[in-house]
Amino acid sequence: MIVLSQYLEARYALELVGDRAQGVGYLLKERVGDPGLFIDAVRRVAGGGSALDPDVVQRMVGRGREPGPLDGLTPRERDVLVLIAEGRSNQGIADQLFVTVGAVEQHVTAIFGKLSLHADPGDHRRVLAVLRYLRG
Amino acid sequence: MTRAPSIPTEWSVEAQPFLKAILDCVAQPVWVVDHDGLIRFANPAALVALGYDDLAELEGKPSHETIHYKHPDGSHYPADQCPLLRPRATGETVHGEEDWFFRRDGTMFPVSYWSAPIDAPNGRGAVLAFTNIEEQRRAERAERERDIAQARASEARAAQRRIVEAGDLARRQVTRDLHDGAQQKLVSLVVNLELARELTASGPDQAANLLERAAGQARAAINELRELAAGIHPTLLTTRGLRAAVEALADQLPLPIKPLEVPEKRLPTVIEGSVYFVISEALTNVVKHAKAHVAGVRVVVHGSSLTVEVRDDGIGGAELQPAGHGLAGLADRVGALGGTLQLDSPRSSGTILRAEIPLPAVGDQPAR
Repeated sequence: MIVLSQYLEARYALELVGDRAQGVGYLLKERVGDPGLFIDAVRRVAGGGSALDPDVVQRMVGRGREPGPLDGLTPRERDVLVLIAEGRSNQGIADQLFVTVGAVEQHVTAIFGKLSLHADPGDHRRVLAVLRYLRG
Repeated sequence: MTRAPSIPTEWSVEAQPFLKAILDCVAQPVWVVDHDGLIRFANPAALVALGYDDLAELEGKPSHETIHYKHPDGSHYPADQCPLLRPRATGETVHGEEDWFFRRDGTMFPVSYWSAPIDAPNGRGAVLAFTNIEEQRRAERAERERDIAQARASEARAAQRRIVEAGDLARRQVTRDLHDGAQQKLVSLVVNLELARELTASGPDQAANLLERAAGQARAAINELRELAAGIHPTLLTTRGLRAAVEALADQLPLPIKPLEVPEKRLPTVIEGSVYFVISEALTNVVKHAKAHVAGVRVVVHGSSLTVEVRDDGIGGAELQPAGHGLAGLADRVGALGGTLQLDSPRSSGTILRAEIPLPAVGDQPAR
């Protein structure tokens, strides 16, 4: 299920995701006009994954917070973190950033280490871990 | 110091019929104590004022302990501090604008008095003329209350006017934002679309370029409208309540909001709207002026009222004035709900803005 919303509200998106980031998506309405992004999101959700709107994720990452582990991420690791939160697989992240899947895996390991999150192979588990961290 | 006038060697006024007639008729309560502070005479007006029927009930009793023994707050009033009795010792005449006497039944009433020395058979006593000023005080109090009520009413009218003006100003601002922002972008978008149509055959590359630009303008217009709508009234406030709306607001700020304590419980719409307005205005001020590292928001509901507190660790020095500015607008808005706004912002040690807002009684909450 994908909800197309006119509201840029992390709350709505997170309520939708709930405890299992599986088979759900929250996108701003106008994403329908961005075939690449929209189709990719539909495929992910159809495949049992999740799709959070990039602007929603940006807002969650960008909010003011006290200095902490997030500041210790490199710009590239930050990019990867955002793409994880959007619900993308390593392959998807690699395609998006024009790097190898191996490089993405290294970034993911580094991010989870810096944020003290448990590395978990399942895509939806790591989405939840990251979202929970960002909500902190 | 004038010499106190003498009275005959005996206390009774019966011997002077004319004098007795005067004292019996005069509306002014008159009271005489001897050198020992004992009551020696009270005219009928004084007896009535103090709730006695006959002079015999009072004669020879200590005056202070009978009518003047405590302060209005109930505390003991020692006789040696009593100014009424002072003329006996000093020969001076004492005037008091406000004191309290106690009737026979223990009730009290305010008096103004003159106490003058008088030569009495056993030495200098005092003759006291007093007036019950209860009515006068009540009238003064009523007048004062009327003045206060009038001042409040006129302040409320002024605040109402400012609220209306602020509303007008906000609407004009929205109009300007729409006109300068989204509308301009939509106009350019249409122009680009028209140009692209002209060029589809002759210059397909140029046309594609224009279409891409048009799409960007459309996205920008959508974003702008979304921001504008959220700024006017955040949807979360309606659908999820105050806490969710404040959390979303905090997410958009460049500094951490900690603590963020807002009850999950839904409140009357007008209260939620005003509390949100207070918090968002206060946080906007923090971001604009305070140079703070962290800000905190706390909303506490206690029984029939609610406290909103927004604090920061910034440079302080914020002021509620001048009228028309953000914080003064808050004061008006809070005042319209019967609440109060308090600002504590010493230079260089942070700012605390606190609003107390009464909650409507359960019975008079309008349906949501």
